[in-house]
Amino acid sequence: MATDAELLAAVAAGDRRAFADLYQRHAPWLVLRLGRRCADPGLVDEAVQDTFVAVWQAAKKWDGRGEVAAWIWGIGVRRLIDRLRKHRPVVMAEAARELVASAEEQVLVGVEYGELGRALSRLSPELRSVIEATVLDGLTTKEAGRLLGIPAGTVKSRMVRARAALREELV
Amino acid sequence: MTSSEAAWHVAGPVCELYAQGALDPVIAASVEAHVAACADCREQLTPTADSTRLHAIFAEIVDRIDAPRANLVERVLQWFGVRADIARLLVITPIVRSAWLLAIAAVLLFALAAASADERAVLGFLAVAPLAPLAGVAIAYGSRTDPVHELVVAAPFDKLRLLLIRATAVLAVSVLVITPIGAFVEDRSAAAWQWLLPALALAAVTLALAERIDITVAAGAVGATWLAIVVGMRVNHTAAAMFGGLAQIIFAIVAVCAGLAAFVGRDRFNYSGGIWK
Repeated sequence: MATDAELLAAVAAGDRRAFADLYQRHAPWLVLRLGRRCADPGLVDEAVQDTFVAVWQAAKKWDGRGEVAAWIWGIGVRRLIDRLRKHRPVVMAEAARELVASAEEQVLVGVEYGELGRALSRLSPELRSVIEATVLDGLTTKEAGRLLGIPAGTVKSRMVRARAALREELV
Repeated sequence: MTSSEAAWHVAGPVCELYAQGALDPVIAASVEAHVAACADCREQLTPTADSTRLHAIFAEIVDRIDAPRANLVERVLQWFGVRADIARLLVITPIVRSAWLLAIAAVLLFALAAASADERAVLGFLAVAPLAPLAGVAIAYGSRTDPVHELVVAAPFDKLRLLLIRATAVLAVSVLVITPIGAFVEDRSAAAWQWLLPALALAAVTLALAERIDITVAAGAVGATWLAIVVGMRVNHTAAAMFGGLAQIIFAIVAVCAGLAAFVGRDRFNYSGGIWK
């Protein structure tokens, strides 16, 4: 079976079949993951469309480093933010309010059973969603603010509070 | 990769709960962090997603990839807030492609150059300027000049709406081209705008007539009548009054009345309209 990188190279050369395969592989998780950040399925669908149209057009620009999935996610979450900006106000998904993340992405794996998991679940949903948008989703402060519908300054101050709360729980 | 990472994979029930959005937030975040880097677990998630929805999304993506890329004019129009389908309609309007803009400019410059005396230059300009958009309207919609005429007639699109969209485009472009020329007419900067209402009135009368007769004929008749009136007034030495305050009000009234007449008779466009025969 072709790797993601091989598929993407074929897409860059205009191969429709490879594009369909790439979609089949990556659209399901993208739909689910974006769906946890936006309550409106219509907007999520549009963001996924935007994402794969961009993948088709920009496949050549992938630098070949890192995971293709991470590259697609980077496009997807920003397209969702673009759509959200056009369609505010949007009710955020209840799930998206109760998100969580660790201070370092890799720590998240298996985190739910450890002390950090308990500390994170004790954070308020506002603080957790900010941590998730910046650490897990890889967004800048400004982008995180647009995703969550709050000013960038608020993202920063909540980040500071979340760090302080985690430090208190863990030390 | 550490041993704890290697051991951690998303189990079946967790996939289901995650897809339903019912998973504990902490675990859901863990799933996402892991899935971003693990192809096997991404595959685990695939059957939980709604395949009808995924197919619908993909169909839209293919449509968008296959759609021709908007050209420069379309993108500029869209940037100004014109809807994509309207922008496409305007771009396929022949007047935008053809040299009629140059023709307008040439006719008007000729009118200016031919008249050496100031007053005659102004009159020449005011007489000819309203004809340019009129010609544009006639050329843009005539079955003889529109290369996509058959397509237009067959398209499930309100013909009057199409006509008005194109008329707006013609008038807007005409104003952009002609107004600067009017500003060069000596000592009479008012001429830069005095032609606008007559042009609007002539275009509206033509549109109203086009519901009954061929638009080319209608435009020709209206244009000829207009020139006859201007020449007649010139002979009577009352031509200057033709563009004064009172005359402007009359032009406005004519434009509104003709616009209403065109609106009332709009069904003719769609079913038996003269220009669409």
